[in-house]
Amino acid sequence: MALGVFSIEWVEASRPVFMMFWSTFVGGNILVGAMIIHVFLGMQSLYLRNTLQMSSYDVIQFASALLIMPLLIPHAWGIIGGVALLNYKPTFPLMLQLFWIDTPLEGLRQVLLVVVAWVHACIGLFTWLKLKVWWPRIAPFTYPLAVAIPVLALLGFAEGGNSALALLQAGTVLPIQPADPAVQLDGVTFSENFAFLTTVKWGMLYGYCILVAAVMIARFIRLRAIIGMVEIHYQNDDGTSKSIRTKAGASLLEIAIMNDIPHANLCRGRGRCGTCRVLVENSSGTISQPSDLEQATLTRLNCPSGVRLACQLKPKVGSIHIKPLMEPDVETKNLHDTTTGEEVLAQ
Amino acid sequence: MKHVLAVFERSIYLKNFIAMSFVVLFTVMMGISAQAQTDTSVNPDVAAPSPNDIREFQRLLGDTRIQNWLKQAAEAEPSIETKGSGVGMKEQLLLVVQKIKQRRADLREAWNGISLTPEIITVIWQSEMSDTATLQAITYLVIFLVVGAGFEWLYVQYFGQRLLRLELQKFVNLKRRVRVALARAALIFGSLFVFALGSVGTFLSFDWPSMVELVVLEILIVILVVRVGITVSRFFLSPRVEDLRLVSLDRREAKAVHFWLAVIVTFGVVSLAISSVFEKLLIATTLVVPILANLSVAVMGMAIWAIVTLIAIWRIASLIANNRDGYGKPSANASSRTSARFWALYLSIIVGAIFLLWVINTNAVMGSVAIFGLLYPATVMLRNWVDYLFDQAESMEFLLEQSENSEVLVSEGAEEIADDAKNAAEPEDTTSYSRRYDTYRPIVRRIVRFTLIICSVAGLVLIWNNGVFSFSDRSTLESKIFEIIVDIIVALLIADLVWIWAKTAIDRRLADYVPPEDGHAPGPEARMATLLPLLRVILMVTLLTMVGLSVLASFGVNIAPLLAGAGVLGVAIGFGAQALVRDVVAGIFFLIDDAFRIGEYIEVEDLQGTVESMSIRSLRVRHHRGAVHTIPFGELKALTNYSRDWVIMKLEFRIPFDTDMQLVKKLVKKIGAELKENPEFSDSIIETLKSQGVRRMEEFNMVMGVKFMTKPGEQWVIRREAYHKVRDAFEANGIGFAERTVKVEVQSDGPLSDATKDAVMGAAQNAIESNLPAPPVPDEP
Ligand code: FES
Repeated sequence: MALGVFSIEWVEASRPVFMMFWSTFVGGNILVGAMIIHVFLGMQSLYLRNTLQMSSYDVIQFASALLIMPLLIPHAWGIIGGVALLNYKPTFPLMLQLFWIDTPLEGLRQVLLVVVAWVHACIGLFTWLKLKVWWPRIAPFTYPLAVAIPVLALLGFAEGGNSALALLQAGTVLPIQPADPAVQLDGVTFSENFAFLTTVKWGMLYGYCILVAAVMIARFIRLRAIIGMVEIHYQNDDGTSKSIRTKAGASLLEIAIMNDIPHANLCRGRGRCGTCRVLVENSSGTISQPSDLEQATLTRLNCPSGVRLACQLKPKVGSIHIKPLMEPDVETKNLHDTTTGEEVLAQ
Repeated sequence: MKHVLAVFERSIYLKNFIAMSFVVLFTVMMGISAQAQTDTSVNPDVAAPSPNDIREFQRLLGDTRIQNWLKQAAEAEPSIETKGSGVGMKEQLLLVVQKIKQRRADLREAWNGISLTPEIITVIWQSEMSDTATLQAITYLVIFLVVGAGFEWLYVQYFGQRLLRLELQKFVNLKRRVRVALARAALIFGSLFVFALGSVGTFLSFDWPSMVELVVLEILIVILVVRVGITVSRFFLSPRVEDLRLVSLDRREAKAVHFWLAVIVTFGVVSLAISSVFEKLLIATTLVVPILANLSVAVMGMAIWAIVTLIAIWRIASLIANNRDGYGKPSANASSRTSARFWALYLSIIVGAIFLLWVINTNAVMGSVAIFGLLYPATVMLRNWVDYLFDQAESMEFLLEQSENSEVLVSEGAEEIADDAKNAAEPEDTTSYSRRYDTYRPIVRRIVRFTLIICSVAGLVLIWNNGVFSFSDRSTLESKIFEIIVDIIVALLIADLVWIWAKTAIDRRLADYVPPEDGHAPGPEARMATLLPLLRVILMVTLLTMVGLSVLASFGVNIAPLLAGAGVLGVAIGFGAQALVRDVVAGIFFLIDDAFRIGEYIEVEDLQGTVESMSIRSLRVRHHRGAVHTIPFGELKALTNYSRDWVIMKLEFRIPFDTDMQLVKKLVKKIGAELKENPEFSDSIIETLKSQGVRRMEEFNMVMGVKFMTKPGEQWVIRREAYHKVRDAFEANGIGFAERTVKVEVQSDGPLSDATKDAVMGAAQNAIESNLPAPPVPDEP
C-alpha cells in the first residue's frame, strides 16, 4: 500500500507478490486458524485479568484486540465469500473505487482495521522483542519503520482515493458487479448470494459480541468471590517507605500501576522479564507458590527464595511488606547486564 | 517538626481554594474564548496557537473566500462603531435594550423552531456534504490522527525514558522541582507538538473540497486545543506524579480536578467548534433556511457547557469536602468544608450569570461580570498558591537541613548530644530558612496581584472599547475618564510594588539589627540601622512625587512647567539652603565612609560623646556627663572615633628606685593572667596586661609602664580592676609606691621655733606645688 503514494499501477503490479502465499488454500487456512487461536488466547487473558485499570499501553492493547474482530470479519468474509460466491476479482483500483466512492463506510472500516491491527501487532511484537539482547541496538531503526509503514500505506490509500475521485469526475467508473444481478452462478442468483453473505457476516459479528459479553460476565462472576482489602508496604532502596491499602485480587504490579507507584515492568506483566521482581519481607497470610512460568523466570535470574515477580503475585487479604529490587526506569540494556540485578539481590 | 505540621495543616485548608480556582481559570479562558467567538467567529482557538495553527491561519488568510468574508466583516464593524461612539449614554443604553429585545425575539423564534433544528441541520449538512463526503472526511481524519499519533509514538520511544527519569527524581528543593516540572512540561509539549506537526502537516499537504477541509480542520483544531488544555492542567496538577505536583492537592483530588478540567475544556471547545461549523455551513448553504438555526445550536452548546461546568464545580467541591485519606478517615475539617461549599456556590452563580448574560446578548456586561466575579477568587487562589509554594519551599529546606544535621550528628555517634543539639538548633534553623523567603513572599504576592489586576483591566478595556488601540481616534468623556483611571491604577500599582519591595527589604534588615548592649561596641550593621530609615523616607517621598506627577499627567495637566518650576525652585532653594544641602550631602558621605555609627564614642574637635541619633542634617552626640551636642554634618571636618576595633591603655606607676624590677614584672604578668582568666573580662581583652619596664626616671622615683589592649569601651573597667590588683599585689610583696617627699635640709642644730617650722613647710609646699604635673584629662565617659 505504501507504494500507493506513487501510483496505483505499481500497487496493482505488486499485489500478486504480496498476496501469493495467503491466497493459497493452505496459507489461507493457516491465517484463519492462527487468528482464531489468537482470539481465544486473548479472551482467556481477559477472563483472567483481575482489574481493567491498567497502564495505557495495555489499555490500547486490549481495546485494539477487541476491535480487530468486528473490523476484520466483514473484510475477511467479504474476500473469502466474495471471491468464492460472487466471483469478484479484487484488484486494487476496483477496491479503491469501492472504498472511496461506492461504499465509503467500508473504506473507513478498512482504514480503522489497518490502524488497529497494526497497533495491536506492534505492541505485541515490541513487548516481546524488547527483552532481546540485540534489541537496543536495532530499536532506533525499527521504531521509525513501525510508524513509516502504516503511515505511508494510509497516505497511499488516501492518495489513491483522491485519484479515484478524480477518475470519477472524469467519468470513468469501473464495473463493480455484474451488469445484471439476476445472472446465475452455480444456479444461485447474485442477489441471493449477496443476501446470504450479509446474513453470515452479521451472524459472525453478533457471535463475537456474545462471546465477549460472555467472557466479561464469567469474569465478573469469578471476581465477585474476591473481597477484602490488602495493605501493601513498600520499602524502597533509599530508606523511604510507602503504604497503600486497596482491594485485594489484583497482582502487585497492577496495584502499583493503579496507585501510580512507579514499578519496573519491562515485559508489562507477561512474567518473562523479571524486572518487576520484589523481595517479600513478610506477609500476614500465606502467599501462593510461584507458577511454572514465574518459577522459570526466577530460576533463570538466580533469585534467592523470597523473591517473587510482582506481576504474578496476587497478595491475599491482609498485609504484605515488599521491597522492589529493580529501579522503575530499568531499560533493556540493564536487563542483560546482570550485575545490577545481582547486586541488589546480594544485599 | 511542629512547623512542618503547621504548614501541612494549612495546605489542607488551602486546597479547596486552589482546586476550585483552577476550574475558574479555565472558566475565564473559556469565557474569553466565547467572547472571541461571538465577536469574530473566526476561530475557536484562543489558546496559544501552535506554529501549525499559524501556518494554517496564514493559509486561510490567503484564501480568497476568507478574504472576502473578512472584508465584509471589517466593513460591517466600523459602521456599528461610529454609530456607538457618536451618541450619548442614553442612546447607547437604548441600543443595548434594543439588542436584548431583539435577542429575546430571536430566542423565542429559535425556541419555537427548536424541534426542527436537527432536521434543518441534517438537511443543510447533507446539502453541503453527502454521506460519502462525510465518511471520506472521517476517513481522512483517522488517517491524519494516525500519522500524528505515529509521530508522537516515535517521539515517546526516544524521549519516554527521559520523561520517566524526570518523574522518578527526588527533589531537594522547590527550585529543582519547578525546573523538573518545566522540563517535563517541555517534553510533554514536545510530544504534543510532534502530534500537531504530523496531523496538521499531512492535512496541509493535500488538496481538499472546501467543506471537508473546514470540518476536518475544525476537528483537528478541537483535538489540539483540548490536548493543549490537558497538558497545561497536567503540568500543574500532575495527577500521577506526586512529587511534581505544583498545587496542594492529593492524588485523588488532583485526578478529579484534572478529569473535570479536561471535560470542561472538551465540552467548551467542541460546542464552540460545532456552532462555528454550523455558522459557516449556514453561510455557505444555498438553501433557504430559518436563520436562527445556528442560534439554537450555539445556545444549546453553551448551555451544555455551563451545565458541565456546574457539575464539575460541585463534584470537586464535594470531593474536597468529603475527602478521605487512604484509610477512609475524613481528612477535611469543618472550615475547609464550608469554604468549599461557599466557593462552589459563588462560582456556580458566576457561571450561571455569565451564561444568562451571554444568552441575552450583552457581551460587554457578561465580560465585566466574568472579570469582576472571578477577580476575587482568582486573587485568593493565586495568593494561596504563592503561599503554598513558599510553604513548600520552606518545609523542604527545613527537612533538608534537618536531615543534614541529623546525618552529621549521628555520624558522630552521640545520640543524646544529637537530640540536644537538634532541639537547640531548631529555632535557629527555623529563622534561617524562613528568612530567605520572607522577603520575597510579599513581593511575589504583590506581583501576582498586580498582574492579575492589569490583566483584568486590559480585559475590561478590550471588552468595552473593542481594542485599546481605538483610544487615539476617540475622545469621548467616558473613554477619557476610563483612560485616566487606567493610568492612575497602573501608576499606583507600580509604585505600590516598588514600595513593598523596598519596605520589606528594609524592614527585614532593620528587624535583623540588634542594638548593642550598653558598654559594647556596635557592629557594622549599626550603620545600616542609621542609613535605612533615611533611605525609606527618601524612597517614599520620591515615589509619592512620581505617582502624583504621573496622575497629574494623566489628567492632562502639563507637568513640564511644573518640573521646570521645581527645577528653578530647586536652584533657588539650593542657593538659599546651601548649608542644609551641604549638611545632607556630607551626612550621606560620612555614613558611606562609615566614620561613625549609632552608639559609638566620638570626638569632634572639642566635643565628645556617644552618637545617639542622626537626622538627615545633623548628628546628636551625648556627652558622658549628659550634655547633648548637635553637630550638623557639614561642620564635621575631622572626627575621632574611640569605638573602633581596639584601644590601648597605658598605665604608669611610680615606684622607689630600690624596687626589684624582676619581681614587679612577675607580679604584673600574674595579674595579666588573672584578668584574662576572669570570665567578665576575658572576652573584651585583646592583649592582657603586660609590663613595659621602666619608662623613665624622675627626681625621686622610677616610672614603670604597663599596657593592655581591649575592645573599645571596655578599657575603663579593666583599668579599674588592673589598678586594684596591682596595688594589692605590690602591698603584699612589700613594694611601696613612691611618695612625693620634699627633703628640707635645715642647717641648724637647735630645735626650730614654730614660726621657722611654718616657714620651712611653706617652702616645701611651694616646691611641691610648683612641680606638680598637670591634672589628668578626665577621659572616662
Ligand atoms: S513484568 Fe516482566 S516479569 Fe513481571
